[in-house]
Amino acid sequence: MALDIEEQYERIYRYCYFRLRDRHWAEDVTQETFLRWLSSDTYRDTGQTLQYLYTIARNLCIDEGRKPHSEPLPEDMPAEPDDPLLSLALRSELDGLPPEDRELVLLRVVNEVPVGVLCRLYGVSRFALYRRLRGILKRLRQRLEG
Amino acid sequence: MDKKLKTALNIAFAAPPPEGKAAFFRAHRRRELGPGELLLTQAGYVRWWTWAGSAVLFAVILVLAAGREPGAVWTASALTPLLALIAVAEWGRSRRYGMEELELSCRMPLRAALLARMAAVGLLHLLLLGLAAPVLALWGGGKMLQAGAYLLTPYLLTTAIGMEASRRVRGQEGLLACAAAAFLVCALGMCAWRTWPNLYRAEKVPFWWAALALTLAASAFEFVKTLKETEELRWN
Repeated sequence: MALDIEEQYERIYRYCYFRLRDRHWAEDVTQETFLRWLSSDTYRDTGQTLQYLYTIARNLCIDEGRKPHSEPLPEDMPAEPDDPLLSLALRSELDGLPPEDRELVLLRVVNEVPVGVLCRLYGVSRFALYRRLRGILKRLRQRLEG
Repeated sequence: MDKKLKTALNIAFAAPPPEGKAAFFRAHRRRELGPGELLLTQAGYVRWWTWAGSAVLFAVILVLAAGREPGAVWTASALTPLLALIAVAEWGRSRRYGMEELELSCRMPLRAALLARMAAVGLLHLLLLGLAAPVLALWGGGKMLQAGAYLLTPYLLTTAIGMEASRRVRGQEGLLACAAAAFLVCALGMCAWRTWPNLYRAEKVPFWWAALALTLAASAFEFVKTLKETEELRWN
């Protein structure tokens, strides 16, 4: 199945944005991710493009996160929620989640990364991934309803 | 997962739109090969004698069949396994020369290259058999579709046996095994024509359709199995 690279650009950008919390920085890292992927001579088209892209993006975000950043990171959220109360509550719940759980929710629910790709990315079984994701979503739902 | 939560999560994770996307893709577009372009590119890697051999064999089949007008279709039918042998020999080339591993490490996946090459050779053979069918039907006095079934069944049977043999027997011996299979099917065709002439009567046509369906399924099965073997080995 051919991957829509332009669509993936936005998803990778969103992923980088939520790791770095700066739109320009996130876009730089996204472009660097794609440049590395495009220029890679060792990559063979074995149907793992998405995993490859997310791995590069994640490693770049980790590297960037280690660098000292002089300016405070602005949070320029453009969201226009239908239900502002739900969105606010959800945002505060998401902020309370461990970063790796938040990342999993972003990748699976928002970026719709296939479960198989996520399993290879995190090195876990499908069962473990489903269980973890179900647990996170259940907690989120309970807190929002309660 | 309920829709409300999913929508809320999408909003909560909304990021400002990227500004440089269009400019980036204008400057760094990766050139992708379309199916037609891939087919043409890979057809160039098929050895010249595969094309020449197919054309010569097609001519030989027609010439031999032309001399036996009542039994033209059966003669051609008995000789099509040799055409299949050419295709199978091309199919197992990288495996035969021990170049599989090297080709696996190329940017163009071996599987796609093999598929494209086989599609090119297969299309040529299909075209040749498609051209032969009406001519043979005219000479033999049967229907065109019937002649097509008589031609394709031994072709597909040889392809299936040849692919199985080349997977089981490595190296040059694999080609010998394929050749043996092709000649066996050839001999079977010749024997069938002489021993069971009733097999080629109009009332036996349903048997040929069933045989065609069976050989088609067997070839597809072998094709998929061989393609799976061209994947990289996963150790864990």
